[in-house]
Amino acid sequence: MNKFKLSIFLLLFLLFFVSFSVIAQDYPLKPIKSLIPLSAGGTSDIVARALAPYMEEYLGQPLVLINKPGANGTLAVAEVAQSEPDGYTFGWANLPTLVIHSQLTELPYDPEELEFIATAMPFEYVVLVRKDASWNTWEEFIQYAKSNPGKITYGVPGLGSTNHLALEFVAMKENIQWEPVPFPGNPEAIAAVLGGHVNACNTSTTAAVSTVQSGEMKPLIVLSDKRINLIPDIPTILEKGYDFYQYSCLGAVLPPNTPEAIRLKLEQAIEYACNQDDIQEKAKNNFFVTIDFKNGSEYRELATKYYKIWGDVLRQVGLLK
Amino acid sequence: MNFISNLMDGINYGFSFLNLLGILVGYLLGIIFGAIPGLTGGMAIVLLLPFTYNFSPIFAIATLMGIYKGGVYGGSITAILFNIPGTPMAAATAFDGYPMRIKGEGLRALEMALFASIIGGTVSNLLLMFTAPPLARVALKLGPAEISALIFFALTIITNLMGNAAIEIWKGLVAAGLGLLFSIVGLDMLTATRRYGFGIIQLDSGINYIVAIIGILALAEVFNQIDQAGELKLAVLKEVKIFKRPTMKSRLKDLKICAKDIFRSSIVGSIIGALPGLGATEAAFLGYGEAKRNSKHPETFGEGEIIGIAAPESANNAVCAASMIPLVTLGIPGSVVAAALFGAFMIQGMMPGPMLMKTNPEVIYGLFVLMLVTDILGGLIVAYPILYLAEKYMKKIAYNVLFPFIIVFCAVGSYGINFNTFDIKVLLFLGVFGYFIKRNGFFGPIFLIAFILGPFLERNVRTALIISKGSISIFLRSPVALILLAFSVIYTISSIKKKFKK
Amino acid sequence: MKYRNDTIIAFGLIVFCLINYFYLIPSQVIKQGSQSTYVYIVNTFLFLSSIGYFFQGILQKKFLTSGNQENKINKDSKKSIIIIILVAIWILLMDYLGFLLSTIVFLIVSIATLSNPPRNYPKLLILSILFSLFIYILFTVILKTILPEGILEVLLQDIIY
Repeated sequence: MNKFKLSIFLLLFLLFFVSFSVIAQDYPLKPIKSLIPLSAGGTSDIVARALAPYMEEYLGQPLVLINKPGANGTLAVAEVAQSEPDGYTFGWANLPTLVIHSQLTELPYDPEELEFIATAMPFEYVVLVRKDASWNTWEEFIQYAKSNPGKITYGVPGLGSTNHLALEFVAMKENIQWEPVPFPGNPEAIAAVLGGHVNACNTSTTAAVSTVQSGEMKPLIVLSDKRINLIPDIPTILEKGYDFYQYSCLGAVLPPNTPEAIRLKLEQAIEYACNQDDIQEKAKNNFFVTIDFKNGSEYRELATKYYKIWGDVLRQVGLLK
Repeated sequence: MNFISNLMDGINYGFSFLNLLGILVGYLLGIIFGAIPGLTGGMAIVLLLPFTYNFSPIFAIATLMGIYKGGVYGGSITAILFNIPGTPMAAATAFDGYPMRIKGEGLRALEMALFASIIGGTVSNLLLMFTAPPLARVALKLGPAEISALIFFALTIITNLMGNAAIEIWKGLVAAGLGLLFSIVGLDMLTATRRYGFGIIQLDSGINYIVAIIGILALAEVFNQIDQAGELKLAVLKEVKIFKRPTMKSRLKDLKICAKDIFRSSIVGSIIGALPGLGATEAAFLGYGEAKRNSKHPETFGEGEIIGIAAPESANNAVCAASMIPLVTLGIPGSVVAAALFGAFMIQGMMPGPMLMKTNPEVIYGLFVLMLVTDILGGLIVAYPILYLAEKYMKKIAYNVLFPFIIVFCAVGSYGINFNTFDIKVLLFLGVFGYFIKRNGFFGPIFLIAFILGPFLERNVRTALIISKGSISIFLRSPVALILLAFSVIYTISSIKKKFKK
Repeated sequence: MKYRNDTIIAFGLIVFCLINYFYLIPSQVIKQGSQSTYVYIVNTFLFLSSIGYFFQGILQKKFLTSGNQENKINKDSKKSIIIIILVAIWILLMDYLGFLLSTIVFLIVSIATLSNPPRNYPKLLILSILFSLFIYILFTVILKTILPEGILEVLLQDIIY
């Protein structure tokens, strides 16, 4: 047993030696842990995994990508926030995780304090109705909702999701009343529209590609700022005269107090990956998303702006007191 | 004939040595992950998914399908041999599988589990090939109100699992109540507000149902068997001199006995699988409950009834192919595995759904054909030898040395879901809880059924009420919901009446 | 023995339900802004079942004479309690020592507890180390994920990179 104790001491000694030597050298020296707050197979997961090889190329060290879904993604962000600020743990986080859930529930981290690396991709949203619905345009839909208050139901992936809040924002502007119906995710919301259980749904574009292409679903409006490849004829919410669009993105964050040099290096790695032709093409043709790099300060600015916007809507719909 | 030509294209596209090899290797991996308590086939798929991004689409998907089906089958091996289900889906298989093993009929049970799996999987594959579009339409028509009623109906199988004595009925109800209560922990699924959070953020995602099942069934069973180490069941087993080997005649006889139940379970499993959200575990319990309900001698269930193996195993395997129905016909992934496959398709530049059926039917039909092959080839070439090897070598192994390893696997499996040590702590809590209730005569599976189905029931009832603006008429206006609710009431009353007569 | 257990457990459940009604639901559900209807329904269901269970337990106790109620199989729960405590220690240590070290120690101690002497310690040690390493390599090197990190893991990584 004595030998055993001795070896533990030896190991402890080595540990200290190793950990000090690592911090002193140039970053990165060992694999970087990267948390994905969503489950495997989803759009965010696929995009993060597509970017990873190029980031590895730039950083010269492997990325260990780990899916940590749960608690609307706040679990992964909380873990990032609580890990060592040495640059060896960073997390992919989408904007609502940072700015909506932190207002809805008490969380062990303050999104303001996190270091924002960059964002790689905005999510794009579209309002869909069934192909045999009587509305063909956004105006008809709004008109119907106005004259039939409370009659329209729409499916969203959870109350408090940007999908829900964006349509409530429209309702505020247009002074209409409609009913959000929360589903576990985008696919279930689409299924509910197809089955005729709700009238419309607001989902991310990727989830809707198949049903839109086959004509099962009719898109009415794009809630993002730019028109979408998949449905180039459908106008955006900005074109319809609203001074607002539903913004949400896939970005990356580091724990508070991470040295700027490390943050910058990761930012450059993401930029490098985003600029690859291969990534751009795959995103457009395979995943139906747009890669749009924004650096850390732009990302932080957007987060601050939408913290307020979504906060106001949350108060309006009564989710936040 | 459009269908025939599509099918031929699919065979051309899908059949290659490499793809078949992928299936077999996948099936083997699936069985290993499935058979080890704590690890599941679903976990293997999620962890291996990123690796498939570099392969050709059909090879990647063939391998993943192999893992999926192998994983669903593999759980039954440990369920029968050790009374420790390797996966949640095999929980119901242990009810009768282990008693059969004690009686020296382990091989008979293992073989029946395999045959039922192959048949259930094949029936569901054929349904997917021939009736996917209409079946998907039917599944879509089932809205929150109908699904609520269906889940309520499924919950009533609990009354069938309870014993006959009055005290056992009360205990069953208590176990169900506790299951419902435990499932409330975590964020409210509709409003994302906390319930029983106790200031622990890890509790926000609630108690993971896989952790719950591993804890209540596997870990609690390990603790329980440790206690029996003195007169370990193994010792009993060693005394069984006659290990009955199945013969061709006995196999056919067994299949004949179970034919009706296998067929019913395959259909039940296919319907459950086609519904987004519900999965193999629910299907297995439902298949078991239905078989017991329809049996002329329900009292033999739990004592080593061969139908008690055939019914859940065919039901859980039928879910595999059926869960692809919403994916293939509508582009909607209805389960975790389907979502992973969705990703596998997408990374290859193919968007699963109705468009893929139109533009690249050979891919979809190739998938169908490979799935059909997976069950038969995987089952006979991979699973069959494994089953004999397992039966042979597990007789020799010292159980008491095995337990710590099983505990480590359970812990690693729980950790692997979210990569969080908190889940291992929950696992231990539930393991001790399961051990405690087991020692006091409560039936763990009742707790689990309520635990798994409770949240579905709550979500769907509340969603239905949101749609109807609070009026319960939504349940009464739908004929499907009404019939299911009426059935639930009739069944509950009749089964309780039966109990009182005894 | 068995039926006295029943009434004690039922009593405990009833007390728990009352605490739930008057303390837990108000503080952990309602105060957090969650809907409480479903929670109340479930708690009421459990409450009523527990009351039924309680009275059935008392009823059956009356019918049975005290001598017959002992469990025939006298289960020895000492070992399982030791193992449960070992598992608890193992899980707590994992956060600090990492997966490898804690698991190796856990396996050695628990197998030693469960097996009968004479114990083959060298074999046990090798078996425990190999098995823990196997799981570690499976998860980190092959599946490219993580396990709780500690001294040994950092050391191993340092050797690899």
